[in-house]
Amino acid sequence: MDETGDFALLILGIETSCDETAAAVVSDARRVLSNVVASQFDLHAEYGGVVPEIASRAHAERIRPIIDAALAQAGLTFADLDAVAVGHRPGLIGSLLVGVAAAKALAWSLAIPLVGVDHLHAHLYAAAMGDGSDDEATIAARYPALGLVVSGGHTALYHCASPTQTRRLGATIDDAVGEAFDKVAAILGLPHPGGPAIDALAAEDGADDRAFDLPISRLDRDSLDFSYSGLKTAVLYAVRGNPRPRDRGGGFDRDHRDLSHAQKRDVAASFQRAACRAIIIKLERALDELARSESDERKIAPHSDQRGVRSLLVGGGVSANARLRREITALGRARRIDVYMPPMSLCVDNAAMIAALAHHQLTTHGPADLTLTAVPTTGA
Amino acid sequence: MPRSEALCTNLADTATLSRRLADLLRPGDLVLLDGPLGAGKTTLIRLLAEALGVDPRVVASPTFVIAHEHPLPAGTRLVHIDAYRLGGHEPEELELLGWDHLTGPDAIVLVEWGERIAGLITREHATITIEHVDEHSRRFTIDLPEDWASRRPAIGAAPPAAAGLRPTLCPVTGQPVSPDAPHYPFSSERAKWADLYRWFSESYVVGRPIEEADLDQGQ
Repeated sequence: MDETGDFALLILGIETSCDETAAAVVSDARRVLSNVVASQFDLHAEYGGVVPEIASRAHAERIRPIIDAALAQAGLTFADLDAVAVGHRPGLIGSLLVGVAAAKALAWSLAIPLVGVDHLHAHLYAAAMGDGSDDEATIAARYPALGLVVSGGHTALYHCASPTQTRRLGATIDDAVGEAFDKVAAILGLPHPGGPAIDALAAEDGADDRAFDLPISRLDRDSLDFSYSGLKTAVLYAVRGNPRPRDRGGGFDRDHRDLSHAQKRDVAASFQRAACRAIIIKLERALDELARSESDERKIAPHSDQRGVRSLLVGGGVSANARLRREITALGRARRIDVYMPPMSLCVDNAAMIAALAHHQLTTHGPADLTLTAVPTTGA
Repeated sequence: MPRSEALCTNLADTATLSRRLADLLRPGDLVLLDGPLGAGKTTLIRLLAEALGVDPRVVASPTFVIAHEHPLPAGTRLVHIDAYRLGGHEPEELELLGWDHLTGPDAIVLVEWGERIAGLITREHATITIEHVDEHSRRFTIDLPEDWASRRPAIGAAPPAAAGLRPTLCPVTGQPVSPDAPHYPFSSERAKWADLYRWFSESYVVGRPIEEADLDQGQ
């Protein structure tokens, strides 16, 4: 029993959608008892060799020790678990399959419910659940919400009526914002990972975020989709000049080594400004759009219990970017709407968010059966 | 390997090229795309996907998740892979990626940054190399396997490029045709007559009512 007198529901979460192998135990959809991510875990020592970056074999090798570590850190055994949840979509099919197979095997052998969770919906819930100090009613009062997922693989906007009722409003039509950060870092010759490197460079004294006039993608007038491919190409031309004709060897006039540190700093700042601005424009459009449809709803049904958007939920690794955090916070203040961004450990890919959202899915929709499969695409 | 080149100065040109290429593609085909950052690999794949019947809005960059799959109208699959993050050194890398699961006789497979895994690929494939010419223009160098050249385009093949003669693929034989060829855009007189015969025999049809504007073309 927990302090409120209820029996705690303990859920093991598993996440293998991309590079990270992760497992976590969460109690009652909000208290994170353990949260283990392989890249932060010293498996190199354990296996005495290189752990491949990508690939299902890496997940397959890591998954057992990671699950064991998640249980050990929570001070639990398999017998204590009430359910097992897995991020089963979207992602690389071979990677997802490892997590799905592990979760099914555990659910079957322990005879406990199985839950399949959409990785993107879990990122949104990670923002709403906060740091574990809020009670269930407080978390529920954050909905309906506007949700934003910004990461290396995803850039998407959602309307969230509740943790389990989401509707996708828009998404990137080409590169994800985190991918743009990484590729611009590569163009500038900055070390990997690119996001923090650009963030740091752009924050240096003297950085001029208007030194380069880079395009801010808006797409159609009422589009809620994103596009980062044009911005990436504009940075390429700003850094490398013009392409050389083929008879002069092809390639470009120059590369990042020909730029001074101040120029690189200004490119980073100008890129970051354009990348963040595009997100803020889409958030503003989405808030306007949702307010409009809400007022239409009220005209038709004056006593409708439909409520306006109460908060802004932001998840995914790019939400660690200092400028984006600052601009989103300012937007929230201007629009009088609360903004929730998870701590770093829950921004990046992790399994705690999977286990936490699974609690709501289990109580509202019930468990999945053992025919649960890995799905490469996201749901609504 | 038959090689052809196309210079596209805008997106409409690239869309025309994509429709021609899409007509040549069959389930089981593999195409490697190369070119530096910002060359337009994802853009070309989006246009190819659109020509194959996929909603272009869902064709995004798979750099992070490595692969995206799109169902095609015929019940087959379009598999869009990005090898940007792959090393291409270990022969088992493709296997670890789930290559056999992703690719198959029912899949048209398009790979961005194909050069990174080209050394691991033993099966027949086409290669498309994209070069920056200026901010809006790109040069496409297309190498097709020998036997793809004899493929016939699907019924309802793409219309000829709107303006300016540029190297193209013969709609009948699939062979590359240069703008100064005597029977452009066909590779031979025989191909030209074969194309006309397809109209007469109604294996080519216009899928909508003919409008006045259609009759102005070619003047």
